Amino acid sequence: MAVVSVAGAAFTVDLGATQYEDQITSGTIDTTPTITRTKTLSDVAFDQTDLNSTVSLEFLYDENSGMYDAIQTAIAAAAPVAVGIESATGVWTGAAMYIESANTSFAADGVATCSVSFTGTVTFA
Amino acid sequence: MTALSTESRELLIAAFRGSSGAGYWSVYERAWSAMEGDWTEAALIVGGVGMRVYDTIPAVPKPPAIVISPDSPWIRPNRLGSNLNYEVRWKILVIISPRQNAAATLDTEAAVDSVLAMIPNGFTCQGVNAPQLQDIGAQGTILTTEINVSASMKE
Repeated sequence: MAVVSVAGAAFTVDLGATQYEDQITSGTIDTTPTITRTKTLSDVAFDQTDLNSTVSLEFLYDENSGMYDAIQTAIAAAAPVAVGIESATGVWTGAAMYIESANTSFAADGVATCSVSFTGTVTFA
Repeated sequence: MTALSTESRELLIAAFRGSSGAGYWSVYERAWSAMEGDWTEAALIVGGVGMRVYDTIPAVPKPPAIVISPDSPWIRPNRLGSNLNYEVRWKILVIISPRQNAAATLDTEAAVDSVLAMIPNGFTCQGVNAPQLQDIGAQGTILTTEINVSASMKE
């Protein structure tokens, strides 16, 4: 019987056309449509009035020569970042994603980790 | 291509070999059974920094010594892109002769401090377990203290 699950490790992630997946421990893509419910005389109408897409990534802190540096550079320049996430046959593309937050945490008994959250328009193909 | 687990083990060995801070105990580098052809190197190591280095568990550990062996789970793929982006976990066993209680306690405490100070950059120490007496059959008993370390590796 064929395996139908998709391994998370098989995903790839690029930011600004640079591959960074070997630092990334996990990621989340949220697509949140806003649905407006309108009661009419005959029925209830549902309309999608907005679409909010966010991408968040957890990754190992890689000092001033990798993904963390690229994110800080984008924040300093107030510039959007192109985000691409691929599974074997699916591609999420955010051509201009704005960084909402970037966090770094470091514990004495563990490794330094970071998280970054983007918002923008994400398409799936 | 060197396996990442091998690379991380060699980093640990290099760190322990390169130190002169713990001259009274041995670091095992080879299985005891494979040591015969390697005595020259071992002797050099002993002469240089006072330690023998073994990177696998010897059949007969000769205290004082440390042995680097896989922890469980040994390898945890934990990043995207490839199963080879993984965290590798090692146990550093500090082996002391328990023949004399007070001396064994002091030796264990000193050895643990020495090993903690020598853990190379990039490795994380998760903890040090309590010393335990281990029966090694006809060879008698040894006092072992387990230090858990890990490193995230990538090609």
